[in-house]
Amino acid sequence: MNIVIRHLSKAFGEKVLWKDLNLVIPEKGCSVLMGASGCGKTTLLRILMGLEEEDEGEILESQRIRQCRKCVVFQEDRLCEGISAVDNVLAVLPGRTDREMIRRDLEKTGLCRPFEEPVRNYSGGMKRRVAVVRACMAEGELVLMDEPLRGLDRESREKTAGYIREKTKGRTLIITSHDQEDAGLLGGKVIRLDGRS
Amino acid sequence: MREILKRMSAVFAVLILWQMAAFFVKSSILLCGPLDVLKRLCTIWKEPYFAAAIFFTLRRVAEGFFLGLLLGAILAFLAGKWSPVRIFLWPLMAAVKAVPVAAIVVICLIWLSGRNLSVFLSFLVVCPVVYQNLLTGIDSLDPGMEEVAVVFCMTPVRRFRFIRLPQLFPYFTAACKVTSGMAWKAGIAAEIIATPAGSIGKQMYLAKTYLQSEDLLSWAVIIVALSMISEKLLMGILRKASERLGGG
Repeated sequence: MNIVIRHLSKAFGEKVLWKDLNLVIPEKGCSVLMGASGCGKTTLLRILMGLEEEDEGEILESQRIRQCRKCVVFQEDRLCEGISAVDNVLAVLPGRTDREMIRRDLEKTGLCRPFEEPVRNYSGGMKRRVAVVRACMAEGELVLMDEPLRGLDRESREKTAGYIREKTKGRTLIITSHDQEDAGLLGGKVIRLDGRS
Repeated sequence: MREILKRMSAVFAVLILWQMAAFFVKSSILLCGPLDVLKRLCTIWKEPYFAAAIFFTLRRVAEGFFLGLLLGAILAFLAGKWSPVRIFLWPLMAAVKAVPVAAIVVICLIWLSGRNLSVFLSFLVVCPVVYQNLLTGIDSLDPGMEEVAVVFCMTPVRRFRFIRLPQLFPYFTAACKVTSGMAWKAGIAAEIIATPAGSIGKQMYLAKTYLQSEDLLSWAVIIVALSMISEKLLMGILRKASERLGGG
């Protein structure tokens, strides 16, 4: 089922993000939310995550969307800094998961083994890829990623985008980005939030 | 290596000052020198009461310490979850921290046997520090990581193991480091006042009564050594636990 947003409004004090926003985000495909900084991309994702309330308007089937399991890459990496990359992924997976399977997935984004040292020793780009793998390996129909390719070099971007495409096949993927190239790499439909074409 | 050398030379300087002071006082009852203490240390371990006294005190200080850790941690989690618990515990914890150990010992002697007083006193100095440290840690838990737990629908066990425990562990380690020495101090103080038979405190009390300064200072050196060894051991265990926690 598509995600239908009707007459949505959101403001933080004096700053109005959107008034009467109407969108249809197709199910089982990749949509890339684009727009200038401060246009409300992250806030829209947070509303879909159930972490933020809209002021007015509605998201059809919002109850179903909010209750379903979600796989998320936040604007910040939000990893447990004191534990390893493998444990960070393991933390969100239900039941017993093979650590080797996680290592293989981390490698697909261009990261190198052994992945057992605390992620606090990782660079920004490495942490970003761990956050991406965590979201992709988690179980859930709805995948929400806030600038997942931020801070990655060209080669890592391509590898990571390929990994995201492979792992989110058959799921609804919503991504925010400033970069038109990200939409191309991920093969997503561009939805502009700032009214530009 | 340089650091060890610096520390060794500081210890050596203190020993020289001590020896000079003993030389000028010229009375081994008032102040015996480090060499006299060293001589006594070489013989004291042969005394029939030595091992039993160490075991007696070590066991009770350890019991009080671990009881303090456990209850301090439980109370901190309860206070972190329910603010009425925090409000209710505030005057209790503040009072326990402020009242001098000797005063508590005198009050407790009415209620408790001398044998178990050191357990209670060690517990009493450890519990509020662990409580306060862990509560500070709970208050500074990253709300962003709590959101991670919510959106990924993590179970309470996983939320604790992966999100909260790694953030709280440094606060717990700091509390252990501070309180391991405090537990020894409080436990020995309780024993010196309550003088339970077979304890280090009783031996120190007797040494003071019979003006055996060498014995008194030898026991003090042994207590310092025991306190340092137990702190190093505890920190080693916590470091291993931290590595397991971090390295998977």
